[in-house]
Amino acid sequence: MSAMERTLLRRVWDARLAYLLLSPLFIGLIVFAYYPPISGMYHAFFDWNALGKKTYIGLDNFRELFADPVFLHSIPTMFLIVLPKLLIGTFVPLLVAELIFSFKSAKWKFRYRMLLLLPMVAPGMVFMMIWARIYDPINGLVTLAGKSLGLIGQDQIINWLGDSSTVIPSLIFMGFPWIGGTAVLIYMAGIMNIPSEVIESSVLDGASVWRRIASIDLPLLMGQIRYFFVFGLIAGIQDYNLQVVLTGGGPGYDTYVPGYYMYLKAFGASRMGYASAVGLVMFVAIFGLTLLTLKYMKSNDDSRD
Amino acid sequence: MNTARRIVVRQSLMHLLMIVLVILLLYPLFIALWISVKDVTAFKQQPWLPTLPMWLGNYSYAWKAVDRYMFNTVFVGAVSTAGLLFLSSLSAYVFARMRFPGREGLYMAVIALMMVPGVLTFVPTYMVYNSLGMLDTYLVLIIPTIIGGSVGGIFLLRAFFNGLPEAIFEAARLDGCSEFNAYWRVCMPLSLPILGTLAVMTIIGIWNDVIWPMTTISDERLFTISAGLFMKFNNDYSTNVPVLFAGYTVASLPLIFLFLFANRFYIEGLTSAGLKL
Repeated sequence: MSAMERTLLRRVWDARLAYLLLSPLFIGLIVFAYYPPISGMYHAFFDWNALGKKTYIGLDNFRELFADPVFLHSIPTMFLIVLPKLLIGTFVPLLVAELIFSFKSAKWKFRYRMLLLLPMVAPGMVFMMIWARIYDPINGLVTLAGKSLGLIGQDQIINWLGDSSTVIPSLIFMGFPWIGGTAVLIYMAGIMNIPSEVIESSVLDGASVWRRIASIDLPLLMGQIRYFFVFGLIAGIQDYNLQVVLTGGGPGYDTYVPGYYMYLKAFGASRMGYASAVGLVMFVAIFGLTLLTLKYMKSNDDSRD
Repeated sequence: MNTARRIVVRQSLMHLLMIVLVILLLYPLFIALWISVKDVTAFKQQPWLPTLPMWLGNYSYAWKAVDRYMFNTVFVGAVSTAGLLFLSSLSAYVFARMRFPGREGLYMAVIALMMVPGVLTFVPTYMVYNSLGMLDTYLVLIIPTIIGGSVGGIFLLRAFFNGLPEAIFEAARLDGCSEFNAYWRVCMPLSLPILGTLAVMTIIGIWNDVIWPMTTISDERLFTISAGLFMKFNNDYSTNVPVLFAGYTVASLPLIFLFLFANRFYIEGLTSAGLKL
């Protein structure tokens, strides 16, 4: 045993308390966090049912997947739902954060931030059920508002969530005005971190508020914008709560997204291997899209890191 | 004088805009509140504005239907949040404050799990719980929060613990404080806002989860609130919408208390975390 090895072992032994304290974490992670994705990638090449019975079938799952029109159609559907929501979710809270920041009264700044957090108290499920009522074809709020504004004929019935032409815009409009929750707070923390001398000197130079936002705030908030955009994209691609709770993928296959397709294959058809193949394909796609997004949304902080 | 007046006018217009936005944002919550005290006929005639008389009896029907789910959610929420806070703060402390060979490598191995998306792990994770015989038990609701949540928790807490001044810990060690006590008695009390943030996020996650409970639990007595509302309550009371909304309101009560109690901590922790990429 060389001297170097002995000193390493010595250092490991001296630090045994650290490893001991980390051991519960790693035992848990190995069983419930490292093993499942490996198992998923492995079983993507198997016919695997819910009882655990499996047969190796090579690439058959992938061949079937890329020949299934339901899956192929679900990909553009997902982007049609996710991209508008992503842009809204990234930029509307930014505008509202700037609005709240512009109030002179610190008391009202605090009150408004608090009010924006308030919708947190209702579970997402409850929100979806309320919006289902708002979209009710006969006496829903959207229908009533449309009729009183003359946008919809008095006898016209629009099944907002049940009609191909309206379902996706309706899903995107859900949650209007899209400012509840933590995004506004995180943006405000970013704006307040901008040195006040910078903002003051922009005022002295006669820059308008809009000019300041465009030339000073936006570049300095790129870190937050990237955060919401990238994590929003990753979460959006995988989300199928609306499909489970509200649309059931319908009408027809109009709101099927890949995640929902995977869910139905696993827990409707008990095809765990096939569903694992869907999961693997989605993982590769998410990974690629994330790298691409990070590459094209360079942060201004990069030079300083 | 003129510019001063212009500023006042502009600020007032901004308040007006903000108040309209807040009303639009909160309107769905108010709808739920006043639908919950209508009777069925009043709901059919006027669902979108408050009406009299108030039918508080809706709440006793609703409570009887959802009390079991409420208990389950509070139980699962308390156990898994406590477990998550302990596991991730202890691990984050070790990564932030102790020196040992392989520290960066092990930390990267934990953080790398953030890149693994839920769609890749959902089905195989279900199969792991299936083969361990844990489906249809509280464990399948508790363990994923503790273990899965610890990855993000460690990331959040390590950054915060790193920012605490080393001098405090040196002083504690000089005074003969053990490593565990340095964690428990020095580090934890200084980190209450960020721990509060993590706790609130975790509890909200448990309250909102529909898909995992409805997939792994078939015994309806074990459902947490969102799954119970969706799988059982919505069907049982589909013809009596006001009772449904009374149930939704009841389901929100604990979160309202959480909000009143913890929102300052939550805002402070969230803003100090400096989330960006």
